Amino acid sequence: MKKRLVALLTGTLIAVSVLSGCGGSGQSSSTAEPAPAQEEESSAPEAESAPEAENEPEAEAEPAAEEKSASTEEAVGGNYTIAVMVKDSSTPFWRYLVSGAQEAADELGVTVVEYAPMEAQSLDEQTKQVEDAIQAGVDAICIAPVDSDGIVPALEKANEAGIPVIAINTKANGAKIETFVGIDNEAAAENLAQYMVDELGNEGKVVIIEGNPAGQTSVDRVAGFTTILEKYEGIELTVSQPGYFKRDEAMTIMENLIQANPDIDAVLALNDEMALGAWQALDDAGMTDDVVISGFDGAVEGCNAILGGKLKASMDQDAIGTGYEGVKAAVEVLNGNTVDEWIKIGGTVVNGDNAQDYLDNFAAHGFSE
Amino acid sequence: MKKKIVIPDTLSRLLAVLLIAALLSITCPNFLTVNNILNIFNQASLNVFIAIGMMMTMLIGGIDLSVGSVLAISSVLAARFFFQDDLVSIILGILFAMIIGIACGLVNGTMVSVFKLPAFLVTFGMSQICRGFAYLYMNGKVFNGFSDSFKVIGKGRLVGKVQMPILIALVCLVLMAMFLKKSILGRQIYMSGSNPSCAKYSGININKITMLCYAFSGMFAALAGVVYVSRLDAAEATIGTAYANDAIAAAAIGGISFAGGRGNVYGTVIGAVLLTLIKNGMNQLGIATEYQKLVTGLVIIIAVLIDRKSAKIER
Repeated sequence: MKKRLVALLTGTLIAVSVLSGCGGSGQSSSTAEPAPAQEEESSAPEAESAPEAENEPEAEAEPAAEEKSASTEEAVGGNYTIAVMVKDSSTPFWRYLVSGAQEAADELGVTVVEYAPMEAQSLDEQTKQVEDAIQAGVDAICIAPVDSDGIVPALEKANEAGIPVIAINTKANGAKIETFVGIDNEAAAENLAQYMVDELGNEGKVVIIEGNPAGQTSVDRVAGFTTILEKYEGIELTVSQPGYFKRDEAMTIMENLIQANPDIDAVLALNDEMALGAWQALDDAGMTDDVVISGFDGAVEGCNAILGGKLKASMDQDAIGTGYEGVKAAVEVLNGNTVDEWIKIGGTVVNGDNAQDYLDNFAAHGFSE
Repeated sequence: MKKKIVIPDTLSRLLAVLLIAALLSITCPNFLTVNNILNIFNQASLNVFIAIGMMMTMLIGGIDLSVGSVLAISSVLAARFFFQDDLVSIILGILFAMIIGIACGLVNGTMVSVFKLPAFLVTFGMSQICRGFAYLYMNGKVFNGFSDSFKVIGKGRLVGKVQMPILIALVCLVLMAMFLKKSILGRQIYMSGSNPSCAKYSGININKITMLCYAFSGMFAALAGVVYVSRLDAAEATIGTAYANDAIAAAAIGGISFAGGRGNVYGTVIGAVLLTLIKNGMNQLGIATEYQKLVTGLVIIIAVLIDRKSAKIER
């Protein structure tokens, strides 16, 4: 009796984590790999009947199942289902993007299904999600690849299934991509670096906090920064370290770098979150007056920080616009029209002068903090 | 009979840390400054909290993979308290966070002890559930701009230049060391880990001990969350994803046996400090993060190997 109960519960746990991994509810989790032979013995009906199973994960699994059936009902007369795949479930930037995508969807009468890895920047999860989307029979995929090279095999499968793929925000280095909707990362980075160099008076020690070196975005931005920084003899690029777009990583890196280089003049971070993490470290060390910091994204928090004097500048990536244009382009392709190879978005330096305008724009779309 | 000089585990680990520190001080110019040393301890303190909690579960032969997610959910749920400036609200907030952590720990402990489910699977499942809840609750929002009084926890320097997290970690270290060594429950924990059947027959309630250890783990995760949020001045659903790994690494390096029953607080702290030391040195040297992971992995394996050897010598 006890053994059967144990098997039932273990089976439930496994079935629930596996079930919550499929479907497009946007709350994907990595599969329970360490479950050995027990996986074969568990079965879905047993999972449903287990009375002591935690209710919350089952509730999560059900919407996933519902959305799955909704998207397999084939799109007739333009009601397409478009998968929008972002890099993580939590960073505000991606929330804006998805909201922009949803706006376009509402306007055009299509359905958007959001996919986001639970573990931020996880290539494994994103690959799985592409495969899930193909299985679910979506009509098009708009994806911001975590790893521009690593995602290619999965996107090639989408190509084979006849599903048009649109890259948003970050390029994919391979497979057939209908269009890239996003900022010209290298040019934008150059703009921003130029602005910061001007602020520094053309001399000083600069530190770059990179993003995820596997993503083309990070590579392009760093290239853009370095191009400008190298032009000036008075500018020294002291260190460039990856913070993986995470606030706490950037804070730790900054804390360590301050020890080795107490005379830093500027920090160029590849997103607002990391810029603010770096600010925390500098604030603790009492160095905020001596160092200028720039972020990237132009998100609500970033704009507020610029107005509050913490950050000097950021770069508008127009997250809402990216999502919007991405879905619009997807619908165009599905309707049989051609689209530009590159739909450019954003690219303006956000600083004290225009930060309020961006905040007003966000507020108009329902985002304010 | 040959007499072998047995260097106590903890001391040998301490020597290893000092050796690596010395090495790094040669290669990094500002490594041995007061500021950097404080910096290292400050960063290590977060790992110390979680590693102590992890140690508690490992002492009874279990493991807690949910610490990172418990850290996240407890801190985002308690975040609202931390915007207030008065002491009462902040204390309430900290208690609230710890209660959530303890509750999660008790669920883990119950599953492991009463239902006899494998700790690995239970805590893994719990980590997904807590993380999911955190995401649902926050929905992409970030809480920031906490009150100055609250930020004292993470950033205050009440004793000279020594940061608050270091002081809090010291207090935890001392309390837990005393608890494990001197109290009856402490000895029962070691017994339950090293020889469960013997413990059971001598009247120890293994279920109670197990639930206690997992509750500790949850509580420390929540405490770490409070300090972390205070340091970062931001609470978001994504925090702490790698913390379980770091804590397990610290415990492994610190000599806590995965089979249970062996290890102490000091070893755990040394493990946490060593990990932070390596990361700090590599950051300053500008070495890529990939190599940091390589080195950390090697250190763990070497530590476990040495552990095995010394265990054989002791017999």
